[in-house]
Amino acid sequence: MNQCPFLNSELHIYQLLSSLRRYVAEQRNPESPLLSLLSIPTSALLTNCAQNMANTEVEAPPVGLPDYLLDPNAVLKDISANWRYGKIPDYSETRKIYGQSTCFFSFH
Amino acid sequence: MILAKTKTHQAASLPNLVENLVKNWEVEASYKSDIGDWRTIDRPNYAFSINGGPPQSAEHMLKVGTYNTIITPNEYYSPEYSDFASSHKTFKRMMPTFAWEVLEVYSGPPVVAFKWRHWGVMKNDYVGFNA
Repeated sequence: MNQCPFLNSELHIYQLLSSLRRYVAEQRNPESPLLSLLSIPTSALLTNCAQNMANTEVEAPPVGLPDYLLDPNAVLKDISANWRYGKIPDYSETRKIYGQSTCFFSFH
Repeated sequence: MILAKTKTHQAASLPNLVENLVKNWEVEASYKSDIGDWRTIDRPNYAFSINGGPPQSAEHMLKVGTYNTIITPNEYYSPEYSDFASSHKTFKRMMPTFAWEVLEVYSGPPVVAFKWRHWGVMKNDYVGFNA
């Protein structure tokens, strides 16, 4: 499994850096913490990203574990349960926000 | 503030299992109105407490709501003046999406200790009641 979306393409790194540089330039904030990040060579970011992947725990595949340990949306599929307000809640936006991750920020 | 998750745990790793469990538990505690439908807890042994407070049952949480179970009376909010529905409206209208992640698991089963964070954007004013 690819843990870091930016390893898929170096192009993403360059695109993100460009966007951040534009953002910092627009903000004109000399104390922006992003400045220190932007001073890091792109090659170093790629190396850090790869190390993050290497440090990720690898465990044996689970056997017999319940679905609610393996799937964050498992109980949302319980169509026969008694749901408050008479319907299964919509967590799609919350999960979408959660999924918007980047290795970039984990370097801080 | 970091408005994104900072960890991507390997599927089925302990941090990933803990993260999934808590997310499913939160769904059940917030939206399953029948305790018999909760699958994420061991009912005979389950109790919830926070910051050294007294153990609270799942039935109590079902009655008053998750926020009222967690928050003690303070200057800005009182669980005594907000029921299940109003308490959830207070926080979910203010912050519609509240993402959550496990940062690190310090110990494995049977006692799992872990560090977590959650984040969101305050899209609407906070409206709470303390009296």
